[in-house]
Amino acid sequence: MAQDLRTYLAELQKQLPDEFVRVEREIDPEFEVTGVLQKLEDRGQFPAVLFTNVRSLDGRPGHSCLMNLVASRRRIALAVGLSPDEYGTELTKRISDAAEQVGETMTVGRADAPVQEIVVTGHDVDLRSLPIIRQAEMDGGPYFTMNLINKDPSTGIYNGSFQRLMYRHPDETGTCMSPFDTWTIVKSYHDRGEPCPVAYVLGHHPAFELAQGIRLPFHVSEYEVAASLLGEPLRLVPSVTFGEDLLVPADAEAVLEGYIPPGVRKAEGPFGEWSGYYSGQRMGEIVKLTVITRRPDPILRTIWSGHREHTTLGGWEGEIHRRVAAAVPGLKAVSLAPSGVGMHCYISIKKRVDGDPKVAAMAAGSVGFLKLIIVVDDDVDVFDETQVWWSVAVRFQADDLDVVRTVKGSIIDPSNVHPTAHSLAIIDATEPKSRPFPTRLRVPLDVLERIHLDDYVTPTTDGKNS
Amino acid sequence: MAGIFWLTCPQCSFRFYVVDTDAGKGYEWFCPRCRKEFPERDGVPAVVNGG
Repeated sequence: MAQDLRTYLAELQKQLPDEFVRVEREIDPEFEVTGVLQKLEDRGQFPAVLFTNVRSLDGRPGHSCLMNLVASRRRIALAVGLSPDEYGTELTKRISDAAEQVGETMTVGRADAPVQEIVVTGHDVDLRSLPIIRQAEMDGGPYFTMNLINKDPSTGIYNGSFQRLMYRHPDETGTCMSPFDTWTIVKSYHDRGEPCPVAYVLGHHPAFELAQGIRLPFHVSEYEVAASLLGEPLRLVPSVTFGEDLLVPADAEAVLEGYIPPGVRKAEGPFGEWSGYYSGQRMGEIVKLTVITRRPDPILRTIWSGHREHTTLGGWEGEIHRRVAAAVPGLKAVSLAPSGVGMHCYISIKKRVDGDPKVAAMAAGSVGFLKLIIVVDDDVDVFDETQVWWSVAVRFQADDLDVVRTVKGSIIDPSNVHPTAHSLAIIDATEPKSRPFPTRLRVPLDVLERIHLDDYVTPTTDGKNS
Repeated sequence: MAGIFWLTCPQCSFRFYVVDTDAGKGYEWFCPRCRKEFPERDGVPAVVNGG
């Protein structure tokens, strides 16, 4: 049986039962779903939450929505075939390797495609039949926040990404595209005066989601990377609208098919974004829907925007790891720091010579988007921000700060002065090789080896040490 | 992100903002709360940073 969202949920409940919550009470998609998530977050809790009785936009209960699924690196590790405890460098390398050694896709017929069990066409296409979540107060409407698929018209390479789609009409959504691969492909069609065919995937195995969030080179298909992360061929099926010209994931929960017409832009937004701020209402392209396909009882995925799962999905981390490893031999680990919502990157290396850290930083910076790169020695755990900033405190002087201006970035960053670019700060917080440097303190190793804590500290019955 | 340009909905007074690179070009906006569509000139500019 092919892996899909359901096989993953079964594994999650088996291996990490404390990280899964089911909400069966009827709930409205307008603010109430995110209200529950906010209450959990206020308690410091970030479980995957399956709501099984969400009302659709036209008021009918009984729909399933899955939120917060990837708000934990442990759950992401589980999604790509690792142990949950391998959420650090093992996870980064797993993602990086998947981009290097892509997997295969296979095409199946409609009879073997769960996502096309129900096909809605023509005047029956009505997004109000779905439980589209309205997340934050100033949002311009209910939003999908999942994966848009399109295909380069010149090379035939598939591209996938996370794109927000705002409900506008029963068969129309708004879009907001940053100038990356999805936008490039849309522009290619529009430059020819043609509409861009698209498919929008509303739920699949989280390994599939992860692949869509990786900043891959243009010539690498997210479909094939998803197959690599899944560890098996990704099953595709011809779309109902475009046939073999646009293949869609056969094991998804639901797929919206349609096109982005040239020369049509309408108001979209505001929307609460990963930055924690609303991006303003703007003029953006639209998607005209032609078909909705789905399972009989789809579990619709939505990323809770601006919260932990929005930036934990560390796909870029793998791509940065791949690029830095190619540039610097001594790479140990890469971390996109949680505090930086994807824009702060910490890199540890076994430095050979002065200059290695800057090469590592420039390789990382080539993915765009990053605003702060800190390079540390390999004695520092980049997944522990306290250690990273200790290194900055004692191994760095501000005189050595490098700033690269007008680097292509996100259009969402509220601090940007330029609409599509920002500045990148590079901090080399490694010990210098060109002059003597003090030695880090430590207890003698031979003493640590003969000290056994239980001989000195006795646990008490309440779990605290005496 | 581009700068922001605050508007107040002429129908329900909800305050929201548009990106300033699209502001001042005669576009039609809509209120996130009441869905009223209105030309920018009808949206009362709010105090910078929301007052």
